[in-house]
Amino acid sequence: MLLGKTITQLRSLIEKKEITSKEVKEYFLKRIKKFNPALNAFLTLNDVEDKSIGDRMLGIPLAVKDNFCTKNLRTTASSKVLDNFIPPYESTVTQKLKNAGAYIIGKTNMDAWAHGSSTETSDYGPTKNPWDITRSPGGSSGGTAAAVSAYLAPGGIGSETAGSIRQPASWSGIVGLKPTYGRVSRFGVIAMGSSLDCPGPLTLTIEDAAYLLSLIAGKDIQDATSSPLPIEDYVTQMKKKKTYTIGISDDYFEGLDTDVAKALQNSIDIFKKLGFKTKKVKLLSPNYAISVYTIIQRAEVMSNLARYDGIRYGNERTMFGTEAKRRVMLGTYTLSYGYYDAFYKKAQKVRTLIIEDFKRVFKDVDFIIGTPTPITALKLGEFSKYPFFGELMDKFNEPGAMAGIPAISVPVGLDRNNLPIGMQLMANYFHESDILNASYQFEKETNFFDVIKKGVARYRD
Amino acid sequence: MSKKTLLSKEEILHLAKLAKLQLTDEEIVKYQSQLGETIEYIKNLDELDITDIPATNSVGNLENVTYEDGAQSLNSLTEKEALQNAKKVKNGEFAVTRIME
Repeated sequence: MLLGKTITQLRSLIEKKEITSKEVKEYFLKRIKKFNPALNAFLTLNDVEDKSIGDRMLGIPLAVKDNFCTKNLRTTASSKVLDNFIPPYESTVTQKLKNAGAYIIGKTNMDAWAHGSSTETSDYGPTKNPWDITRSPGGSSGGTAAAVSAYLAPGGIGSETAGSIRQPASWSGIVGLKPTYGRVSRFGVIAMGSSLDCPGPLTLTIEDAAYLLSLIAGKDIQDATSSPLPIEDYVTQMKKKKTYTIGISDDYFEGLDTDVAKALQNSIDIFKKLGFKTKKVKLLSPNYAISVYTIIQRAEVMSNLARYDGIRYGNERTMFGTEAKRRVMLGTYTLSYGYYDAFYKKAQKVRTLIIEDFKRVFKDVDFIIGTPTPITALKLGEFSKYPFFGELMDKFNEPGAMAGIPAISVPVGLDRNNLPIGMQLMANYFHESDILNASYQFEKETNFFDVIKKGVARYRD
Repeated sequence: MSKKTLLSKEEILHLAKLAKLQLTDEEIVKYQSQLGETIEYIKNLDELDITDIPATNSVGNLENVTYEDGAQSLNSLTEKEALQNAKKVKNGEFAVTRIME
């Protein structure tokens, strides 16, 4: 009876007293026990009884990526360096969700330190894609994506540095929203690339994404980079009938798998049918964003991982995995004497070019359409064959991440192997409402081709 | 990525020392070519004209974010909380290995 119910639907059922919060919680705990051994989506379950039932989330469970510090609940970032770390404080995002009455049902697997696009660099084994357990769910928020896709939680929270929400949402066949940098507080999120990191929701519907965003967004005195701009009523804004202009840039259609390209073209036709206009635009090649991202992110990783000394908390630096070490090494290289101007400074300047480029194009169009990833879910083990492959796979996510603009990934069909295909819309700074509005119209028109429904139906009670 | 740049073993060991990382022999060899490959790729930025372009440190356009005078930290930990994850604690302080004789 509860299978596949959205957060919005569960709230309504609890409000009407057709079911209790306790029953909902037990339902999901039972499903986690049944399916998690095969999927490895959750690392730690929250068995601390939480009695606060705020009236906005009414005790509804959420899956939270294991890089959000949760007070008195183990938080590892999927690295053995933090194997036994019990945070003495709560991240702003999880605090806000708890205040709203959400139940953090467990902490989900991820690429260690969020370094990766497959959840395979986790020190606790890879998460499996619920659509095909021989494949990756994407990453780094792969645990949350798999948990939501297989309905082990009705929604969840991930974080993005460049693609870590959009790409696993795409590969696991659900909705993933990356907000504008600074729209959601980073306080208490284990830092990866501090000028890029961005928490966001992964959900079954656009309405749930809008609702969760409204709960977690806003200025936070504990994060100086959080924006003072007022947050909107995203659910109300989403439902207003609007038409938009969609920008199409050829560079974002290069090298796509044929099924992905076909599904994208079909999506553009659906937007046209909804009365949207399209316009060709020319953007800087994403190949430059790959380099800017690689330089700046590795530099920030090197700096952020320097704090793990094994003295105040956590284990010694000998516990870092090979991917974390590789990134620290490159960050150390590009920041060292003689290379700073050649790499880091240059990357910061090209970052300015990327930002100006988007601002110019968003004078003419509301969105840029594309896909978060040129191919559908890879088999487990494929990524490790090509160390730089992850960055190339994320090339369509890196420009938006470097600029700090918002973007969404939604399912737009299945490929020849019955694997989900994702479409992405990027928009100007703080235009989350418009992204949600357009995606909601698309959802009403197509029901995402039943992808989400079919995904949940694979995991019957 | 046609050209193949290799970092020397000495360069790799120097970087590892700066970052306080221990590498296996296998990792040293692997990183020599992998870091080289990445460094070769990111040189594509040389194709762009960045004369007179300012550097971006932060995308938020926020300036001078400060606390009010007298503001209290919302996030101070008790001694017990601050020490709860430490492996070695002595007299309510973090204990570290002696670095000078």
